[in-house]
Amino acid sequence: MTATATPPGAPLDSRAQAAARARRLLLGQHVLLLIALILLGTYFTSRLDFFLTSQNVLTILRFSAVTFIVATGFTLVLIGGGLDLSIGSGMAVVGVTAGKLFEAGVPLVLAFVLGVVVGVAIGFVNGFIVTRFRINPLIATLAMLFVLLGVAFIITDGRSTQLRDDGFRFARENVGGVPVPVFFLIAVAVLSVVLLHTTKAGRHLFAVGGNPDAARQAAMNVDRFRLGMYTVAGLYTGIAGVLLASDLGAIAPNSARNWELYVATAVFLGGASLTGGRGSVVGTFIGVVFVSALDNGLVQMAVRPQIVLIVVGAAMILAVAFDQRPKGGFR
Amino acid sequence: MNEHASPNGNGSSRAPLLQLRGICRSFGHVRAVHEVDVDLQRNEILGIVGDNGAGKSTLMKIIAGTVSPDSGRILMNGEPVEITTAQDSRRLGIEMIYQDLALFDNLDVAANVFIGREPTRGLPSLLGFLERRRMHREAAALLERLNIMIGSTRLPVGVLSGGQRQMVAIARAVAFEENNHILLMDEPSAALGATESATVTELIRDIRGDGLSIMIISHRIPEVLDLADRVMVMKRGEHVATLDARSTSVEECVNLIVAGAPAATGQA
Ligand SMILES: Nc1ncnc2c1ncn2[C@@H]1O[C@H](COP(=O)(O)OP(=O)(O)O)[C@@H](O)[C@H]1O
Ligand SMILES: [Mg+2]
Repeated sequence: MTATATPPGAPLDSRAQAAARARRLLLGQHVLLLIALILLGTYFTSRLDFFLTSQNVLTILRFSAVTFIVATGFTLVLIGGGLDLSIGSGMAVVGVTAGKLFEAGVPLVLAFVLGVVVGVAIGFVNGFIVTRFRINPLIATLAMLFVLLGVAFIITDGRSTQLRDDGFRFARENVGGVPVPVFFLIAVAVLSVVLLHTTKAGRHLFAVGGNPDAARQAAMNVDRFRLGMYTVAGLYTGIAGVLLASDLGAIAPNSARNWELYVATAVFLGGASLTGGRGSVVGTFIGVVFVSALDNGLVQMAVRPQIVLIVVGAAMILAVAFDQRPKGGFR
Repeated sequence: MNEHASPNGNGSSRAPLLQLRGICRSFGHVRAVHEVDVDLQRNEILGIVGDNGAGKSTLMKIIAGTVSPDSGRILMNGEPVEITTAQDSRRLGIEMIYQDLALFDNLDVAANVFIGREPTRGLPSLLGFLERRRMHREAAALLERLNIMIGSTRLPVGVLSGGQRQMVAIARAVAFEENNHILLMDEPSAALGATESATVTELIRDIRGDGLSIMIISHRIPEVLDLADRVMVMKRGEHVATLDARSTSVEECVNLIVAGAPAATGQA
């Protein structure tokens, strides 16, 4: 069946290539990250009786779910050769919008849906700015970070308020012992894996991010892909924003502060790259669980929050340094 | 003029496959291509030589539709054709391999061969599911048919050698074409060592015929004289001579490239 037996006089470097493949498999970023996660879990378990209890694992999972959803959007954007720094502010705008609507008497489901629609609109605007005005995505979405933060503060008059009605806090509930956000995690994961790794659109997104010029020569509409990926990322920001607000049970304009840090660290640990064309849903998932466990464990060891920021930031630097290490065979 | 041409093009099969007439293109004050006429015959390998900046790449990009000419006409089988985008030229059966190869280092060999033309199942167009197995099978068969030796179609192109990358680019360009197609190659062996370059030359020799015509830009004069049927010399945007590759020596060819005219007589 596999009639690809190398013809006589096979090139010398096919053995080197097989070795490169084996090395990549063994030292693949996912595998290394999984090992690191196991070591981290072992360490925290040895220091904290509480760490591996089912209640704490569920807490980590609940936090992971929201982070994963927004991190998957971040991953899509990186794969397509973009960047989105506005996710935290976008989540804040979405969260306060949904919260205000609910407070004003809008039914829960409708408030949720409208919040998500706001997220989609934010993603579309990001994509529009980047593709139409040809602004470097780092600058465009950094500007959006502040614009959206301003919007969130205007909507709330700069105040954080606790919602009196507990009906909004569905994200705190469990169904069959599983936190509600985990169901959203599963839906987003399945949708993203299918889209990214099995469809022609996903393949082309990797192409657009890996080599935009070549993608244009292959008749792909690079700008339309980028607009689309920012919009899908906006959808995920919307879902995550509503879930976070629901989890907190509050209308809080600064609720998603520092989320850029956690999300970017998780995604880079998971193997995505600033240079575009690389990343995976599975890698991002492991990265998110790693960062959530790190945060959870450090906080419970009573490490000061400022130190936690420094540790997570250092992890991001390590992840990017690992990504940019010289590779044999690359230019 | 073409009222007797039959709809399937057979009636005008006497005309060259591709004709360029009076092609001009300037960038600001630079006349990159000036009043160039070229004929490409069926099954022919036409070499293009000339100094850096002679306009070779620009001419080729005009045929590929990625650079638009300021003036001039393009004819295929004697009929005028409109080439304003890369899609236009591809629809006419013209494939170009760029100097940078336009490969995707982050994708594997099969993905590169099929990029933009992936077979899918299920939903239409972009949302269709990739037929991965089929792509690997057909890519492997293609590589075997072309005698291209690459360990596996699952290797990312980023780990391949320069020669292997060049061969993947060639395989992609010839994979889907029917008859009467044209392959444009801009310095396919520029970045290769002698052995790899010889392998690529061998591949180019192998893929001609079957209605495939090739235009190839090269700096390696002995190689192009050996490979091509005719060699076109360009200088400062102009087409200064076309040589019969078999009866031209390397010195004659180099003299023309440098002087822009035959050394002694000054008459083409
Ligand atoms: N996109 C461009 N913009 C400005 N000048 C260009 C451009 N492309 C080519 N040129 C100029 O046109 C001339 C011919 O270039 P080119 O066709 O690349 O030559 P060759 O391939 O023979 O080395 C050169 O002087 C080059 O600088
Ligand atoms: Mg050139």
